[in-house]
Amino acid sequence: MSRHGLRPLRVGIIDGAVFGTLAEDAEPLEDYLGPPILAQLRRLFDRPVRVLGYNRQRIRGNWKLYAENTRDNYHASLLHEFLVTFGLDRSTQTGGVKMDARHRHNITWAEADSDTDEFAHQAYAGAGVRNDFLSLKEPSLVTFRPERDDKLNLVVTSVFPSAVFVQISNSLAVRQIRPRGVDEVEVFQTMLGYEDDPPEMTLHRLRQTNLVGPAGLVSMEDGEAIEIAHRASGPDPDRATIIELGGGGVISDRDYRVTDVPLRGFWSYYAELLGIEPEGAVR
Amino acid sequence: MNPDRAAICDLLAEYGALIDMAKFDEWLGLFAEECRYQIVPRENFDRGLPAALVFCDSRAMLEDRIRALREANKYNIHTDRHVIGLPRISEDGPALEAPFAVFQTDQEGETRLFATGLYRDRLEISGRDLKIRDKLILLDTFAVPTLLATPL
Repeated sequence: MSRHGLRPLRVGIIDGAVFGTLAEDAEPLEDYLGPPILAQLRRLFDRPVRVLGYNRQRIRGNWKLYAENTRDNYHASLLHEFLVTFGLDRSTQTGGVKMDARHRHNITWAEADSDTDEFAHQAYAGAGVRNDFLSLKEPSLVTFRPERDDKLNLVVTSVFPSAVFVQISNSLAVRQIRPRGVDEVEVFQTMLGYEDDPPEMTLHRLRQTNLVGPAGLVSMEDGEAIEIAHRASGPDPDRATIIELGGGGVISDRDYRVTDVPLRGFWSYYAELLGIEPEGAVR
Repeated sequence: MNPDRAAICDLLAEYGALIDMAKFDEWLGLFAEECRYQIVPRENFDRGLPAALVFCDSRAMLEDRIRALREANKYNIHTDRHVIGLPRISEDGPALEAPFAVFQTDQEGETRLFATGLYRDRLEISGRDLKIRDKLILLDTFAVPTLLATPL
């Protein structure tokens, strides 16, 4: 290998999911991930998976904006209006965020059928947000078929720096955040099912791939939003804009959905790695 | 009776023009009552993998897509321009295969090649009309620039 100039990767495997790193001093994979993340990966990979296909999205923005995106719970029901328009995924559901001890990774989760239409109508009306939920002609597009003992129908597990494991209803995927320089990122997504899925379940998952990816009914907006944020941050590299949506203070798990605290966890670890932590930084 | 070449070319011309004019209800009218519409990345198709970017295996799903585009989804404001090449027509079906390119122009007049690939359509003759029963869009440009909202 050395004759060809190839650099060996250190590799770790969790139930078939292969992780690699170029860092020689990296901690063992299971320590790096921590118990909550490990548990989610073991849940997702509890049976052999089948690759249904791939999709790629090229976004003219910095890769860290995408890493922020999957940790930010505010934007889902604001930006991805498909969710709200059809009353599908709502901030009024039972859900929250869960992180590893160092707060570099995050699990965004929500439970199916955990709020009532009436409660959601009232809450959204009170916040001045659209609440005249429409209905789909083909409801199977969003019908959740529970596959396990839990009620989780949304689990987005972000692993620092560049992996995301996604369950949205019955669509399952692994996303790789591939930087293509400072100003461009490719989100490479592998769509999954299970080897023992009956053909009917495979069809159900293929229908629900409509929700994610570059043409995803739920996800397409991310491409445009990141490009706008990237363009806006370019012209004044010496100046800063800070929006403390969730405020400052301690970085910790939350059992509610309207929070962006995992995003601060990401930046805190990023700053530590790069040796640019400010004085008094919260970890 | 098989449709003549001119009728098939007319259908393709209408198909591209209606998307470019954002007349999506009329565009939906080009499809048969029972229809399928898929955009499949070429890297999946070549490996025999089924996952699509857009997978509508009924007219209801295609109508939901268009409704979501109007009511819910947010995307970059742009003009689409379809350039559809000469179709190869087979009488079995009837079916056609036609190359396409879609250019997108933004609000500042900058144009980029957004997508190129191949249409594989199976058609249906209903009365005097020719309708699309099954449209498979093989997407050569499977590294999708920014996002894909309006139909290809």
